[in-house]
Amino acid sequence: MINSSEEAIRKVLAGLRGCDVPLEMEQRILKAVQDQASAESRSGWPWSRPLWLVDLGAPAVSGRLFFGVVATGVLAVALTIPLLHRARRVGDTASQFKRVAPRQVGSQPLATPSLVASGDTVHPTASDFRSSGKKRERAVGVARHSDSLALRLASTHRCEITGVKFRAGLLNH
Amino acid sequence: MAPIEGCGLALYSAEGARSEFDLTALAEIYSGLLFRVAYSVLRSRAEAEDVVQDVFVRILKRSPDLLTVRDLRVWLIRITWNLSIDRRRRIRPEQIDEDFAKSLVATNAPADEALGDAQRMKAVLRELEKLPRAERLVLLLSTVEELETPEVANVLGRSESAVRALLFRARTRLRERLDRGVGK
Repeated sequence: MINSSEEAIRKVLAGLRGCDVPLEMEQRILKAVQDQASAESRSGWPWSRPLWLVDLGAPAVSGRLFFGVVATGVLAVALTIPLLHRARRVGDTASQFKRVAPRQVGSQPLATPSLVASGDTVHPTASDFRSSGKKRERAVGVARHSDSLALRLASTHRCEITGVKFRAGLLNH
Repeated sequence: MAPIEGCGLALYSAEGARSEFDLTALAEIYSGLLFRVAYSVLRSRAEAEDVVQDVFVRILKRSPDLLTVRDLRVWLIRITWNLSIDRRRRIRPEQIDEDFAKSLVATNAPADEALGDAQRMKAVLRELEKLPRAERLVLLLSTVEELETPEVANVLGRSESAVRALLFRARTRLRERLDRGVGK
């Protein structure tokens, strides 16, 4: 029976101190280390091997230099992809705007979109406005009745219409 | 200690075979000490063995560093110590401490007495964990029998006098807290 706290402390510390090493621990450890070493030498990636193994393998490029080159390449690609993507999107938007809104001068009648000219009155449905996102991107080239109305209004008031303003106005209506 | 055969792993430095570390010899000399260092923190044999294994894997990976190490023994203890503290954060120490406390109780004691002793041991371990970090680390590392005060100071990056003072404070504080707990 433990009677005092000092005795309990002493017993706990003695328990920590008096722990025996498990049997055959060294063999298990060495086997694990050996497995690790052989697994790393099998996978031929230089950065997964220790530097001294890379050097002993005598490739032309040392491990650190190789890693630096790879890291720089990855960084360059990561920076370039968004820039290219953005440039392409800007180009697409400009060409689409040219198709949708040709410049009008004075009170000249607008080029009537094909759907309106053929007499089919197409009213925008609620789903047209609801499914905004992707569908709107694709449908920029299709001129609807509402589009031509909006363009006609804009030219009457001699407003300067930019592509962004035009599309924003269409959404508000 | 029985010699280990069939594990002739040798680590070569980057310059070649001029300097050579025999991993088998390192394991024979240091694995027991490193195990006890890890066990003082983790209180679980399986976890402590895993940590020692990790240490030797690191030795394999960082063999060039071994050439520049001044005191290999302290260097290995420090790696083991840091890995153990790191692992202690990830495991569930409550269950481990409970098992450890039970293992300390005499097996031939009556059941109610054994239960009371186990509760006291658990209280000691609980209060040990609540000690200030510096005091706790010094107290735990000083339980490793092979380590003298200068080595403990070296591993923890403190002066010898600071280690002695921290050890004294840790024991005093632990005793006071336990007495207060018993009084309640």
